Amino acid sequence: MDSIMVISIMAGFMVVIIISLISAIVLKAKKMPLEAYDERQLLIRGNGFKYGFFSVMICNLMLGVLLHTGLFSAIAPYIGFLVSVMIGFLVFMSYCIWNDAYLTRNARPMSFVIVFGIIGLSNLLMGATHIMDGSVLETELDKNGLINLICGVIFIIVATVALLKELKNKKEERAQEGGLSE
Amino acid sequence: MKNLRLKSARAAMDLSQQELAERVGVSRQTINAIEKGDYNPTIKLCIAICHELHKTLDELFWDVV
Repeated sequence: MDSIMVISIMAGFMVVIIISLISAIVLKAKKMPLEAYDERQLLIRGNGFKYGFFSVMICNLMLGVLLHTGLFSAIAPYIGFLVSVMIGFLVFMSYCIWNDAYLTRNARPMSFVIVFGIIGLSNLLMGATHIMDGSVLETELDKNGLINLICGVIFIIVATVALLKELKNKKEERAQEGGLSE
Repeated sequence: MKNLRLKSARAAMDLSQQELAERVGVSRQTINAIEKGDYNPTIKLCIAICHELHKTLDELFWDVV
């Protein structure tokens, strides 16, 4: 691992810490509780965590078999482990989003869809660039476009699930308002 | 099992699911899930809903056979 890689990882951690601090300050200034999930949402999130965890376990088991039999030798093992973790995230997020328990009570789903869509598209674009210049199957972490592709696909799927759920909720709200006015 | 008594009590007070949810401090989807019978609320939430709708626990949540 060269010094640029170490500096990049440190910079990444610093950005996450700074963003977390700013978010906490903003939430405190707006007097919003950090834990703003209701009882049903907390229950769903617990179930989602369980499903996500078991998904990771199953994926790791399958990966172990694939690596042991040599069927998965074309791609570096860490990519496989990354995929299983990402699948766990995907299961957790999709389950929570579909049961209205991913975002807090007062959060705006559309801004979440837009942010995740942009992150997904930018990652897909970077992954496509790596495919075009032929570096997609390089095994070094800093050159591997597969990570961008995987993240891109995961973020796009999550954004799509969130969008579909938001449309379903809007339809439900309209039907409910119609029913109330009758 | 659908909780039609809750739905009718809410409608009688001219409240939307969103308005009732805001009053009792939960999401609209939670109220919707209770009305559809997809979620069994805790006694704390039941009492909060009863207070807002001026009903007793028996009137809204007791399952009469």
